[in-house]
Amino acid sequence: MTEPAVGRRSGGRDAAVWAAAAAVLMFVAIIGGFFIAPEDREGEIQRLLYLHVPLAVMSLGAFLVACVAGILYLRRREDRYDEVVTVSIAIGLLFVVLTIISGSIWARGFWGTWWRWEDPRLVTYLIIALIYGAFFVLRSSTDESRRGRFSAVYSIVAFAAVPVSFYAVRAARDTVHPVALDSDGLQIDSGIFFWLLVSQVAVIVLFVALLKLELLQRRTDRDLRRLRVLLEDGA
Amino acid sequence: MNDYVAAAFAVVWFVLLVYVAFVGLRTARISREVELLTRLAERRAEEDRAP
Repeated sequence: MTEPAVGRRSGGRDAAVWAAAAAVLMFVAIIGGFFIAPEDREGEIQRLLYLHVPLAVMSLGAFLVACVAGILYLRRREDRYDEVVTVSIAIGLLFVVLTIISGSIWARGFWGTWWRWEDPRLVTYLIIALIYGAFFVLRSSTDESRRGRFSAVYSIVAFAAVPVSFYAVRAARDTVHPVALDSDGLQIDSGIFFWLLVSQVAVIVLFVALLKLELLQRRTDRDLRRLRVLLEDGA
Repeated sequence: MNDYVAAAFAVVWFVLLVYVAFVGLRTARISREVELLTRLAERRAEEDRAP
């Protein structure tokens, strides 16, 4: 089932509004994170928190969106949910790459090494990246008639790995990865936490903007292909 | 500013800009396609009008 092209005009405006909101919020988050938020005992390098943590959280959030869209696809068999699965995983992977890059730079500056294989958070997060990275290879090699169902099932099964990464750092005793919030409460200054929340909202809005833009482009592209076939057949 | 902080922000923004450029290229391709189909539709309309 496809969405009518006529009703999509407001979709373009929607994407533009979300993109503008993301730009404003990112600007506010950067100014706040760099110039207003207090510095903790780690010093300047701690400001990477405002980039690294929201990207990491949103990457897992994107996989949650893909999982929910996968469940909806299996229930309703509507193509739009299959598109949400694919686009969410693609954006989630982009955020994963940015998280690993920013985390590695922080680790180099703070620990003196780019990566620590003994840390469960880092390793489980890398495993998640590989699981979702394999999605596109496997999807493209699946028969087109079963591609939607395969993607939906994969997005649901793969999501099982996400809570493992989230709780690994809390359950592991020998982890060196810092945690902002644990069972004992907030582990950072409330001023830092406030700007972390602002950065998180900015990255969530950025995700929604990218999702809407990608979906709009894919649907427009598909309509154009249909139109081309109609025009060429009628010529 | 700490060098590592600057490097991380630079890399993240660079990757995001590359992504935006990629989206821009796709938009340009869609725009070309629309132009082509418009010409095709116009030609067909002219053929239909011709006696």
